[in-house]
Amino acid sequence: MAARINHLAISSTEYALEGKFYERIFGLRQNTIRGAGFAITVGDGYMGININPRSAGRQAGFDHYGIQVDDVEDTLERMRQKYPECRTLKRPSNRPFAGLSTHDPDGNLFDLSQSNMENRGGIYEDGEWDQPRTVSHFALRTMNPERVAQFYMDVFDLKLLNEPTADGYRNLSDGRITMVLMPWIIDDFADTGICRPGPDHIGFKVESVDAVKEELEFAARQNPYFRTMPVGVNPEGEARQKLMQKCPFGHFQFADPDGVLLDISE
Amino acid sequence: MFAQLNHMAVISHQYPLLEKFYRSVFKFKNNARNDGEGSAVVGDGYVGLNILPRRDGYVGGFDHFGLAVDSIDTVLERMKKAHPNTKMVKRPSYRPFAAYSGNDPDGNVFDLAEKTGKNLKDVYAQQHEKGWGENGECQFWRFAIRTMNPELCAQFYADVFELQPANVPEDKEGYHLTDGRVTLSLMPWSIEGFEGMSIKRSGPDHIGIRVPDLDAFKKEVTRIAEKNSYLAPTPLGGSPEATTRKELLAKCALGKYQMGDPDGNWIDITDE
Repeated sequence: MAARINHLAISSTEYALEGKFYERIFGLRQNTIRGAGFAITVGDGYMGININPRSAGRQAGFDHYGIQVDDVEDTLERMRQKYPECRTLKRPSNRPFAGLSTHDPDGNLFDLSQSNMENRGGIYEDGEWDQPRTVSHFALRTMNPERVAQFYMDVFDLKLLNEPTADGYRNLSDGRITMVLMPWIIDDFADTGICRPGPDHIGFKVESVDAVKEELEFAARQNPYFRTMPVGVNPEGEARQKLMQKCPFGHFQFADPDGVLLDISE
Repeated sequence: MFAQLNHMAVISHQYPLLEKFYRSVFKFKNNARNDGEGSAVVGDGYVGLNILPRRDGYVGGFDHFGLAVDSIDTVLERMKKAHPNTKMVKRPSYRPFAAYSGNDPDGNVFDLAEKTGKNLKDVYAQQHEKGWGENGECQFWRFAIRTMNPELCAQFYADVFELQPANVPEDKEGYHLTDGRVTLSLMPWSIEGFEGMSIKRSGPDHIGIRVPDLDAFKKEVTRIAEKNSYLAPTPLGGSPEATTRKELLAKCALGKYQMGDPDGNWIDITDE
């Protein structure tokens, strides 16, 4: 089983601006072949990020992720054998990544794709390239991280990178991208607003954290719409930032203009 | 009743606009004592809706609800006894409603206050002091959640908060509990329910508001939107996916008419 975590999705009322932000700050490439009326898709040569216009009834924020496999039938069989409660749904044909969508035992939603599926397109069929700033990890807060980690190991052969910590964190890898599973416990939010379980933040590996910081300042002066949402600026914000800093992979935390948490390291 | 479901919360990047929307379209009242720096709060004399500025790391949309109870100690005791996998945490004292927050077995978050608690501020204090009567027009009547284990969650709210089964049509999926005035709907989250559209994660789905006269309400919504287009509801339906979403909402709605606020948050309207 070869599984690649190569899709993330954000839902935003400012989806066009978000696309520009990720292009500008991280050098992600936008696929411009798709019509202007669709979601924006940007990529780093391995990971594609869909920035979907928030539609009525949907939540805004970091929404879901996607996994590409070499044999989707094998994946589905593994799920049926060990996790029959995890159901699968075929997606409408206009999706550039997802042939199917499914969920883990805690209900965390993810897309499932196979490289030769008929509905793939856009950034996901543009080939691979190297660039200095790339997605390195993403984090989920979930009710039962141990069981969820076992699901991804059993179904996708993701590798556990760490001995589970006292905090219950589990880090899984596809060989390039790390999925950080963090326990969702309401006590952790004692001094801040409570975020419900689900996707938490996206991490990037960059050539220089200082260079990114400088570019964030420069970009915001150049174009005020690129101003990031402040992180850690009051007692509740500090508490929220400390919680995020428990993730073992990031060194500098900030948020994109829509408030999606980002974490960068060298 | 032991518990009153009298708090709802929505997170928005344009929270002052939503306050204007709920005040103008539904005639809910805000609190003149609002400090202008924090969230906006509007109320109908029983339920308060906190409209929270979206901060870093939070998702936009309906976020949680809250209950005012006779005794938080009793709630804690019942949670420990019957549902040990649920928890409660004390909240910062400047919250206008919540003294504590808790989670049900599926991780759905609710705030808790005592009916006579010190944390009751803003519209919640005014409602409690009875200095602010009901407006006689629009009322919040429902908070609906899609969740993985609705039966287990329904049992939790019945055991801990003494919510009672609500009288709803048999063909409506899920479990519907009431505090005597407001209904908490726990609907099953199943990925198969999202065929032909984007998949919405589990969690709060929509709220319900009762209006005195639906036709008059629709005319008023149109009048306001024509006067100030920023206060226009988000259209539901249109493209195939949007129409499928609209049908999903209609299927689980208990009201007669469904709409979206300017952020796209779903609202189920009835005049019954």
